[in-house]
Amino acid sequence: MTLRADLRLRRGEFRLDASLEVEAGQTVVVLGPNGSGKSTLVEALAGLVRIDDGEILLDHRVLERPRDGIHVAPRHRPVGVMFQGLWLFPGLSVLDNVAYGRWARGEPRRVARSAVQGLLEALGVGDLADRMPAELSGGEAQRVALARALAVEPRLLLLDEPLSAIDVENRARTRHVLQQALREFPGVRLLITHDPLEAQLFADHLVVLESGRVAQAGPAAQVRSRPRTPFVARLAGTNLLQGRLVREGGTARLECGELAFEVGRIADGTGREAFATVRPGAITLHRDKPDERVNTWPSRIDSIELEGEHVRVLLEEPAGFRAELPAERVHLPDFSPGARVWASVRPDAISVY
Amino acid sequence: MSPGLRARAREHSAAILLYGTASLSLLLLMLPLVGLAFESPWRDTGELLADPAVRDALLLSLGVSLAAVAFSLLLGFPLAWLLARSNLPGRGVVRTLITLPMVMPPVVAGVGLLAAFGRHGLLGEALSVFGVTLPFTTLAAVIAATFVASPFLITTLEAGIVQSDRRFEDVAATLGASRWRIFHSVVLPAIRPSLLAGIALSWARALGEFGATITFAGNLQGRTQTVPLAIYQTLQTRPEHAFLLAILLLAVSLCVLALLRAQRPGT
Repeated sequence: MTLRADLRLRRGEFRLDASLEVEAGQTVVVLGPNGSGKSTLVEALAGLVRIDDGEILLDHRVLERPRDGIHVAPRHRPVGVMFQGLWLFPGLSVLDNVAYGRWARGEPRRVARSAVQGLLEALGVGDLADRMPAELSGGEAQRVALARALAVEPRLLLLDEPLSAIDVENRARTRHVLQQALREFPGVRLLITHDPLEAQLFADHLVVLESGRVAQAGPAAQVRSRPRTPFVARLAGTNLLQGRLVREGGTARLECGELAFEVGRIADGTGREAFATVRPGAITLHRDKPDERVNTWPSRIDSIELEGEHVRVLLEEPAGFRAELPAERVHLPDFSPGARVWASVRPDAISVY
Repeated sequence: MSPGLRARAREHSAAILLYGTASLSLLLLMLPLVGLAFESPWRDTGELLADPAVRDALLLSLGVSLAAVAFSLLLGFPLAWLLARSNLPGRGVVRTLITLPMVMPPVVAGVGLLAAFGRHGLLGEALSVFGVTLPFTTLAAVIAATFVASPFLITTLEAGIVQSDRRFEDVAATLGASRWRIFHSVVLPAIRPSLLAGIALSWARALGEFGATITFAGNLQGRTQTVPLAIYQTLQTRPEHAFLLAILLLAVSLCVLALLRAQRPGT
């Protein structure tokens, strides 16, 4: 079972242009900042908004292909959706909320109800069957919404920010329930989130969406270690350089506009466009120009944040660069926002790819 | 007087002013009802109810007002839906036009209806070609009542539809529900309070309709003479019976409103 989607659509100023391929038994996490088009992606896959071009194939069945005039209505798609905000029907009991889909597909009410009781129990909310949605906690409501999406036995499960409605104390437990339910779900699983931690916990395959486009996609570990956009680098907790790789004599340099960085050993050619990550911990800051000349550049402090035993400093040049220094080595007055500093990094702390 | 006493006296007079004017306004609202109750010849109730003209008026009033509500629902629901959900241009203008009948003097409404559906009116002339004449028929009374009552239903409904989030409809659709099922299992429960409120408001307006009806439909017993018209006519011959008739109309409206209230949980 596979989901193959190639989506292109316009809504006002917003454009979505994204391709996805997901195998059954795999959890694909779509990660992106707010407004990147994540929810539109869910709506398009569910058939709630039409795509302008491209196609959606689930299990070799065409769900949508505008070119051939094909648009399978949402109710005929084997897709279960858990929307951000959950949206449990307020006038129906927990049991009827979960039974709604089977009932809507023609099962008699009583049959539908008894069919979903087991599902509620499996998710640990069997004793809440008679409650109304307003009487549920965030975590309980989340499980009921999950049960409702699973009750119609979909082949594609779409979860839009599934943990956003849950308070911090219950998040870990609910996350665990969700992880287990996902593991047991046999179809294609797609989870949408803006939270890097959630992405890290759930993703087999990670798709990073930025301004309606796939910025980067691949196995989760690879995306984290080889970021290709500043957003991904920030999620991975590192700094990103993008430039042209030049070899001169025995040393290799990465030229990024005004700045050039001497880098450690590299395996392959020169003259190509390359990326590099720079660990925030490998950057040192000086008030005065240091004697060291390699990989030293003047910058300015944008903002500063104290976190535990570290000081995190955001630099203006290169924009968005972060340095992390042990708090005891920082004389704070030297590093107030706006202050001029010199930054340096050792060549072997820059990893090029 | 000490300053403390003076302050307290000022507080006292403020309270007297507040309670006094509030009581006056309550009195103003209640006195006509009390007057009706005291001045009505209650022992004539049997006689009045036996009067065929009164029975005609009562049945006609019920029939016309309910038909007006039904028409308002049938024609008003799609309009309320489009106003609430579509992005059609000119919705603001349409909204203003709809509220016009609510503030228009009823006699103006009646004259307008004559200009539209009258024998020589805009549409009336075309209709008369098919042998249809609307003025002074029961249908005219229904049209008059619908004209003045439907705006109440449409505006109340629109507010209800705007408040009901379409995300619930999306959820139901992904769960496999057909449009009709979504409508009656998701939309209807969500807009039920405003639907009932709209029905109550428009029904009350239709039941009390006088000016547009007498102008457009006339005052013909058994055909267009609804209870308000009958009250007006009785007032000129047997005023005390008009009082009794007024109480009868009041009772009918209270009954139906109570019925609608009972349908609304939590109010």
